[in-house]
Amino acid sequence: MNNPERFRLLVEPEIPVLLRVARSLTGNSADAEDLVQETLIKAFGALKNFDGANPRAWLLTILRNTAHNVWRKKKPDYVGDWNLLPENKPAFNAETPRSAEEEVLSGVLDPMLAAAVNALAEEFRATLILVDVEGFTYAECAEILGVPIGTIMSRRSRAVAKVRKSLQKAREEAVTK
Amino acid sequence: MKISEVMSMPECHWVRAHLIRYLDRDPSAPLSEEELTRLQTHIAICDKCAAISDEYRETSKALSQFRTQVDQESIERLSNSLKKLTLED
Repeated sequence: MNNPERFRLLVEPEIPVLLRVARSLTGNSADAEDLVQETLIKAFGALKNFDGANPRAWLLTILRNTAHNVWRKKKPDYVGDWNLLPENKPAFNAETPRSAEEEVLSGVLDPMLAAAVNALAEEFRATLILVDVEGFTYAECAEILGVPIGTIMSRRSRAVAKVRKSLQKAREEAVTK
Repeated sequence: MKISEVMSMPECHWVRAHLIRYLDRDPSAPLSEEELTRLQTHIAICDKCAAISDEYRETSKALSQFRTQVDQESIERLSNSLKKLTLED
């Protein structure tokens, strides 16, 4: 491709997705914006090699490589600093608003859930966060983490099973206290 | 443990291995019609697998509540810088 205007039209709608992934990788909004900025510059520089098909996958690959090369030096624990999870409040415009009862329950359940997720090994945690929290498809998650889709399916399945077991244990312990 | 429970154990194992794909319905990993029927038939009669399916659903729903919102100002700044980048060329 050698058309800057077409490049802009293809890339601009992907900015929110890139920001969400970058936020997951860097752990904060300021670094995420810098990472996306750098990704866009690199993508523009590599425009001649892009055939115009699947811009999201192409951009996510550039973003992952940029994060790997640049951000890893700054933040060795990248793709893994999910400690921010318990501090995150559910989004105001989350798809399904919680009922009053759910709101009360969430005060008890959220810390248990966050602890269960944080107890997972990094590769499982990253997959769970990208698919369940951020809502990426298996294919997008595979692109972001640079692994085959089959690996994502397997990690996701094992991660959910582990979280379920941890929650079950935590609930039983809470009842016996 | 009941004899019927022991008999259904291999099927439970198969169902649990495919449960996430069934719940996610991700386009990259679709189940065949035959697999869907097999899974739904088992969940309808197995209380344990049905309970696990519900727990998976609840866990996934609870996790999605943590989804962070993207800062609109960041989007605008990046859109503007993209515009500059492509116009400069």
